[in-house]
Amino acid sequence: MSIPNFPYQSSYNSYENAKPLLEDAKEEKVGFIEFIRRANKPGRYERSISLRITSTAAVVIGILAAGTVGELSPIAIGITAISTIAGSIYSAFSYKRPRLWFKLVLAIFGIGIFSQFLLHIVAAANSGQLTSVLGPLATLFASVQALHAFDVPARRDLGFSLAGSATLVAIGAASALNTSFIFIIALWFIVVVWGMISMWGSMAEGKVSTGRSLKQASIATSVVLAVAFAIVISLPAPTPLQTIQLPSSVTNQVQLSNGGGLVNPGTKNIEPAQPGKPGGKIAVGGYVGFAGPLNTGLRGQLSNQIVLRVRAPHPSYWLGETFNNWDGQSWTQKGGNTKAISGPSPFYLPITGPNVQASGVISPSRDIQTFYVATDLPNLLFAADTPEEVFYPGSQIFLGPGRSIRSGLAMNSGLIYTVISQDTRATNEQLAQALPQGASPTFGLSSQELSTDLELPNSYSRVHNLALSIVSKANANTTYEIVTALENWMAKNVKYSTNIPPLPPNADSVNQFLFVTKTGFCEQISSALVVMLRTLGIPAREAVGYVPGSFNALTDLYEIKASDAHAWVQVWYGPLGWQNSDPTASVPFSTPTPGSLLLHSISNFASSHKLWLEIIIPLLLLTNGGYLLLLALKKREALSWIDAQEAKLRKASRKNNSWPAGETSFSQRVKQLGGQLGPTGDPNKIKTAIKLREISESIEKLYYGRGNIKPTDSPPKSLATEIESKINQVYKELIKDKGPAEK
Amino acid sequence: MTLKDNPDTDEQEFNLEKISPELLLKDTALGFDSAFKFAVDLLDNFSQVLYGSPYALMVATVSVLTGEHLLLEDAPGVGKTILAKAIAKSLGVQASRIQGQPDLLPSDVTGFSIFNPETTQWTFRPGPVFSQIVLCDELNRTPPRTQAALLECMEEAQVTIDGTTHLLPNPHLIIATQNPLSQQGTFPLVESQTDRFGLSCSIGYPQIEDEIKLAINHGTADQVLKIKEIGDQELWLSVIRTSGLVHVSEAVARYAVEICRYTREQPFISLGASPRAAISLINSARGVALINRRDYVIPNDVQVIATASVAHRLAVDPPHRPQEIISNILRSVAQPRP
Repeated sequence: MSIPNFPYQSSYNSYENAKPLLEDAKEEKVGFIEFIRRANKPGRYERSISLRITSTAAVVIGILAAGTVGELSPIAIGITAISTIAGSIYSAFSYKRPRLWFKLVLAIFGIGIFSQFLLHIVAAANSGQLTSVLGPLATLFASVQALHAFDVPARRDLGFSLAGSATLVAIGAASALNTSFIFIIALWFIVVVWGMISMWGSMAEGKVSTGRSLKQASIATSVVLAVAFAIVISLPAPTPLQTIQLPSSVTNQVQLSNGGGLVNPGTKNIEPAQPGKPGGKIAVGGYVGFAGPLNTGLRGQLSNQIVLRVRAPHPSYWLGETFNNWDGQSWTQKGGNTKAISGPSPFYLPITGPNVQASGVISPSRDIQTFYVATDLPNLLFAADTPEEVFYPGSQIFLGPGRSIRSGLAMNSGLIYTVISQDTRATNEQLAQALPQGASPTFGLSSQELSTDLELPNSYSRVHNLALSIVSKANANTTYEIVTALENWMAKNVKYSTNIPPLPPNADSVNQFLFVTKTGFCEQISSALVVMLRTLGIPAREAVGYVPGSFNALTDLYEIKASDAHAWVQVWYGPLGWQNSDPTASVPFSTPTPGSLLLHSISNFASSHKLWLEIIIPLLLLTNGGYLLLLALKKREALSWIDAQEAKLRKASRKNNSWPAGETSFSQRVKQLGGQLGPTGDPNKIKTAIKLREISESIEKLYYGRGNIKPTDSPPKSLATEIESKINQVYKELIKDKGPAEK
Repeated sequence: MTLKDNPDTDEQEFNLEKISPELLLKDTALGFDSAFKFAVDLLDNFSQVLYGSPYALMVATVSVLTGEHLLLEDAPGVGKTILAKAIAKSLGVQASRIQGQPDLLPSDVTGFSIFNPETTQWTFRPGPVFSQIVLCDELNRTPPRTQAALLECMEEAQVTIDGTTHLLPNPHLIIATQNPLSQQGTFPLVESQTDRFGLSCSIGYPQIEDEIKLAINHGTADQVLKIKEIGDQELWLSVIRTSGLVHVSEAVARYAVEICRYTREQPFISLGASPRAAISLINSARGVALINRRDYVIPNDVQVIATASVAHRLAVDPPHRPQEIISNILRSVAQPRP
C-alpha cells in the first residue's frame, strides 16, 4: 500500500479570519458547456491491443462491405483500407509524442475531403447528371475513418472507430441487392462484439474473467441482434432523393445495332415454344411476349430464377409493352413507329394520352423505381404507370409502338436503370365516375388511334352476345361497371391453369377458351376480356410485363422471377387514360413497409420542392457549422483561466521535463512540481517551490474553501491577477533555470 | 484517570450525570486554530509511543478528531494496544478494555442489573462499554452475540438493558483490534459490523532504525505513562464539533461520493461501499483537513483517507485486495479540475 503525500507536513496558512460557519453550499447544475467539457476530456492511452486490432478490423470490414456493393470505387477501397491499417499502427506506437502539428495536418485533410464531398453533391444537384452509382457519402465516411485511424489514443476514440464502422456497413447494407450480404454483417458483428468485450475488459483493468464476460456479452449481443433484425425488417432502405443522384450503370456494355428493334436473348439456344405443340422450355428472361407478337397458342414453362430486382415505393405492374392488334390467335402492334431519343441521361419521355394532371381528377405523385437486371433480358425497359424520365447508362433509348421503351444496349445482368413515373393509377371510385357510356372525346389521342383499339378480325357475335348477357344481368352501365361485371364473371366461370392442351390449328383462341376449354392462363383470360370489351365498344388493349414480385424485407427490393411475367388488360377510361385491369385471379401484391411509404412521401416532397431544398440545406449546414464553431469558442473561453495557468507552467517546466504526469488536478500538479524542485538544496529553487505551494494553496482555497466558486468558473478579477502574477514570477524563474543537465 | 483493565473489580459507580443532555446540546465548537493545535499535540503524543508508522498515526488522529470508530488490523506485537492506550491517556478520559475471548457474554460488555438485598432493588452496574474510550482487543475472538451487542453501542450511542435505555458518554470512541493472521477459534466480523467502523488501518512493522529505538525506549518503562494529557472530555467534544464544521465544497463531496459509487460498479466487488461509507469518508476527510490547518477539504484529503475509510467495508472476490482496489479506483475516478 502506497502512502500518498503525507499530509500533516504541509505548510500552514494563517487562519485568523475564520469566517462565520454553516453557510449553505451553492447548488451546482451541470450546464451544457460543463457537460461538453466533461465529455471532451482527453482520455488516457488505451493499452488493450485486441481492442485496437478489432476496431481496425471493423473499419476495414466496413470499407470492404461498402465496396462490395459498389458504393466505393476500387481505388477508394485500396487507399482507405491501407491508410486505416497504417494509421492504426501509427496510433498504437505514438502514445508519447506531442501530436498538435499532426492533428492540424489531419484536420486539413478532413476539410479537404469534406469540401470535395460538398462539391460533388452540388455538381450533381446542379446538373442532374448521373455518371455513376458510387456514393460520395460512402467515400466521405471511409476517408474520415481512415483519417481518424491516425489519431486514436484513447478508449473512447477506438469506440468511435467501432461505431463509425457501423455507418459504413449500414451504407453497404442499404444498397445490398441480395441477402448474402448478411454474412458480411455477421463477420462485422463478431469483430465488433469481440472489440466490445476487450473494451469492457480494459475498463475493468483486466480483472474480468473472459468466460464471464463472454457469457454476458453473448446474452447482450443476441438481444441486440434480435432488435437489429426487427429494425432491418421494418425499416426501408432509403429511396434516393431526386435532388442528389439516381442510380444507373452498366457493367457489360454491348451496343445493339438494330435501331430500336426488340431482341429476346431468351429464345436462343433453347427449345422454342410452338403453336399446337405441348409446352417447350423458355430461357430465363425470355418470355415470348416481350419480343415480337404475343402468340396465345404458345405453351411454355418459365423458371423461378430471379430476373429483376426493383426498388420502388410501392408495388405496381411493371409494364413492358402493349398490343392493340388481334388476329384471333396472336397479339401484334399496329401503327406507330420507333423513335430514337438520344442524349445523356436522363431521357425525358413525351407523355401521350390525356393529361390526367390537367383533368384534376388525379394529382399524380412521382414514383422513383430503380431496376437491377439480374439476368439477360429482352431490351425492354420496364416501368410502372406513366414514365416521364429514364436514368439510363447508354447514349440512346428508343420509344417503340405500344408504349414500349427500348434499350440501345443489350440488357445484360448488372445493368441498372431508374425510371421516374407519374403514378396515374385511379382509385375504384374515380374509375366509377370516369366515363359515362357513349362519351366520345378522345382526350389527347387521335380517333384513329382509338379506333385501332376497337378493331376485331371478325364480328365475334357469340362473344358479343355472351358479353351483352353478362352486362345486362349485372345491370352495368358505365365502363367501370362493365369491366367489373366481366371480371366477376371470369372469376366465377373460368378455371386458371398454366397446363392447358395445345391450341388446335386455325382455331380462334378466344372462342376456344370461352366456349370449349374454359381453362387458361393470363394470356387467354386477358385476351378474352379485351375481345369482350371491344365487342361492347370499349377501347381495350393487351399489356405484358411483370407482376410486382415478392418483397424482400431485408434488402427492401421487389424480387421478380421469370415466372412473374404476366399479361393483363388496359382499358380506356377517357380522361383517366389507360388503366390496368387484371381479370386473372387476383395477384396478391406484397405490401411495402410503412417506413418505405413514409420515405416515399418525403422523397416526393423533396422532388416537388427541389429549389427550396437546394437553398435550405446549405443554409442549415452553414448555420450549424457556425453554431458549432461558436460553441467551440465558448467552450475555450469557459476553460480559459485554469487552462491558461496550466499552459504557462507546463510550458515552463517542459524545459526540465518536470511537469507531473497523470490525471491529478491542476493544484496538485503545481504542488508536485514544487515538491520536485524543493529537495535539491538550491535556495533559489526552494524559494520557487514555496511559491508554487502558495499558488496551489490559494487555488485550492479559491475553489474548495468557503464561498467556493464552481470548477468551471474563473475567479474574481483581483484574486485572479494576484495568482497570475505569482505564476508569472515562477514562470520566469523556471524558464531561467535550464536544469542540471545544461550546467 | 487511569486505564482500567478489568471493570468488574472497579467499585466506583459510573457517573451518568456528567454527560447530561444539556452538555450534548451545548455548542462547544472551538476555533480552528485550537483544533489544529489539539491535532498536532495528539500527533506528537502518538509519535512518542509508535515509531515509523505515520499513516497509522494520522488515521488514529483523524479518528479522535472526528469520533469515527477505529479498527486496527495487524499482527501481534506491532503496537495496536499501545496506540489505543496512548489515545486514552492523551485525552485524559476514562478508558476501559475488553479482552476478546469465545466465552465473553454481552452482559460482560454492556453491564447488568444486580439485586441489592438491603434496598430490595435492582441496581444497574454499567459495563466497560460505558467508558469514553473502549478498547476491544481481538474483537474477532468474541462470539457473534457479543459482537452484536457492540453494534447498538456503536451506532446508537446507547445501551438497552432490561427495557431501560442508558445513554453512553459523549464522545464515545471504540477502538478495536483484530489479528487477521490466526483464524483459529475466531468469529469473523460480519459486514454490518465492519461498516460501523469509520476507519481501519494496519500499523505495519517499523523500519530497522525505528525498531532499534523502540527496543531501547520501551525496554523498562511504559512509554504511555510518560505522555502528557492534552485535554479533557469537554475539549475533545468541541474538537469533534469543530471538525464537523470544516467546509466541504460540492465538487469535493461529489468526488468522494463518486469513489464510493465506483466500488459498487466493479464486477469483482461483491459488496461495495454504502452511503454510510460516503458520509464517513467525507467526515474523515474533514479530520485530514484539520490536521493540515485548513477549514475546507481538498480532493487530496479524500484521497489520503480513502483507503482507511473505505477499504475495510468492501467484500472483494479473491485474489484482489481491497487496498489495491482503492488505489486503482483513485486513479480511475476523475478528480475535480482546479
